[in-house]
Amino acid sequence: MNTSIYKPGESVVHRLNPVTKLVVAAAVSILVFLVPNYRFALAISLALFVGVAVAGVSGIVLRLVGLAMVPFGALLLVIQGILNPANHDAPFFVVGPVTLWEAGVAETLLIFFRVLVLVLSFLLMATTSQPQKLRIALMEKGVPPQLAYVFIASLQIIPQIQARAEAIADAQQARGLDREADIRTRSKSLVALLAPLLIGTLIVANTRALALNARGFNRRTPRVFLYEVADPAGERALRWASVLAVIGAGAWRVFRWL
Amino acid sequence: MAESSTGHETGSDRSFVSRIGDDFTTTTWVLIPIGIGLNAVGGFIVNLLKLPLFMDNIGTVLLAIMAGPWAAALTGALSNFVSAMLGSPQQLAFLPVPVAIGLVAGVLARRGWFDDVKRVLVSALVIWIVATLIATPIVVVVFGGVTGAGPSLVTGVLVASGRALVESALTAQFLVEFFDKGATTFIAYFIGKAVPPRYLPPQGQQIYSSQK
Repeated sequence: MNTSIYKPGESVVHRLNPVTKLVVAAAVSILVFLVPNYRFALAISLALFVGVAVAGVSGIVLRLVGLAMVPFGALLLVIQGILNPANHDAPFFVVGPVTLWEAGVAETLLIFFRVLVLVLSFLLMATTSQPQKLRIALMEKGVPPQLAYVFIASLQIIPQIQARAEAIADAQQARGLDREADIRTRSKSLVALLAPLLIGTLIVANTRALALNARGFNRRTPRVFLYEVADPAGERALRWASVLAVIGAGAWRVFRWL
Repeated sequence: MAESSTGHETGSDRSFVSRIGDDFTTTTWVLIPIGIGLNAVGGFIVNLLKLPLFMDNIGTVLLAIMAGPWAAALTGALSNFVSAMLGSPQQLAFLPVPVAIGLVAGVLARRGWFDDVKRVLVSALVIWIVATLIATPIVVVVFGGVTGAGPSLVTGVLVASGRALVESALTAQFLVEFFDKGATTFIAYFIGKAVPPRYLPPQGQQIYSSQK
C-alpha cells in the first residue's frame, strides 16, 4: 500500500518508460523558464492537457491543478497585476480605485503558465507511472539501489507515520493535551506528539536495517528485477532531444545576454 | 544500530567521496525514509495544534543531527521529490532549500552546534538566514513573489506601499522563516533529545551524550 497518486491504466502515456516521463517533465519545466514568452508555456500546457486526457487521468490531475493553481493565479494577479510598482506603466483595465496594469497582466500570464507547466508535467508523470516501475527504470539507468529503495520506502512509510501520528495525537489528548491552549503551550505539545512518533519509528528502523542487511542490501553485484520495464530506441531519442532542447535554449539565453 | 560508523572521526587522508560514502550505512538508508515521513507529517501535526507554521523540515534537521550533512541533504531533496509524486509538484522548485538546510544543519551538528540549547539558538539563526536567502530568489523568479497565503499577504502589503517586489518578498520570507525554521530547529533538537540514547544512531548518541 502506498499513497502515490498513480492511477493504473493502459494508455500510451502509461506505457512510456517512467524515466522518459521524468526527463521530459523536467525538460519542459526548465524550458518554459528559459523562453520568456507566455505563448510558449501556454502551448506546452495545452499539449500536456492533451496528454492528461489521453492517459485518462483528468479527474485527479484537474482537481490537483485546481487546488494549486486557482489560489496561486488569484494572488499572482493581485501582486503582479495590481500592486507591483515595477509593472505600473499603461493601465489595462480600471475598476473604481483599482487599476490592472498591462505589464502586470503580461507578467502574470508568463508566471502562471510557467508554473502550470511545472505542475502539469509532473502530475502527468506521477499519475501514470507505477512507483515500482519508476524504481526499476531508475536503477536500470544507474541510480544506486539504495537510493531507489529510499524513494519507494518513503512513499510507503508516509501513510504508516500518518496513522501512527493520529493514534499518538488521540492518546495524548486523552492524557490532557489541550488543542485550545495558548500558543506557548501548543508549541510545547509538538514535542509531546513528535517524540513518541520518532521513538516508535526508530525502533522499527533498527529492525528494518538488520532485515535489509540480511538480504544483501549493500551488495554491489547486479540486481535482477521482478518487472520488465521496456525502453525502446524512440524513447531514448526523445530523452536526448529533451536534454538538447534545454541546453540549446540555455545557450541561446546566455548568447542573447552577452 | 545494525552497523556502526561514528561519522565524527573520519580520516583526513581519505578521499572526500569515500568519506561521504562512510555516512551512508544501512542504518542511514533506513533513517532517510523516516526523515521524509516526519517532514510529510509535520504539516498534519501543525494543523492539529492550529499553529501557523509549515514545519516541513523537522525530519531534515533531525537527520542532520543523527546522520550528518549528506544524509540530511538527501532527505531534504527526496522529501520534495516525494511530495511531487504525492501531488504537490510546486515543491520541486524549492528543492534547493531543504538541501541547503540539511547541509548547513549537518555541518553545524558535527561542529558541536547542537550540543546544548544555547548553541542550538545559534544553529537556528544560521538555518533561518540560509533558508531565507535561498527561498527568496525562488519565490520571486519562479512564483512571481506569491507563496502561501500568509507570506503573500505580507508581500502584498509591502508592495502596495511602493516597495520593490524583491525587497518585499525578502522581508516576508525573513519573517515567516524566522518562526518556522526557528521552531523546526528547536523541535528537531528536543524530539531527538527525548529519544532514549540506545535507540539513536551513533552520531546522534555522540551529540546527545556530550550534554549535561
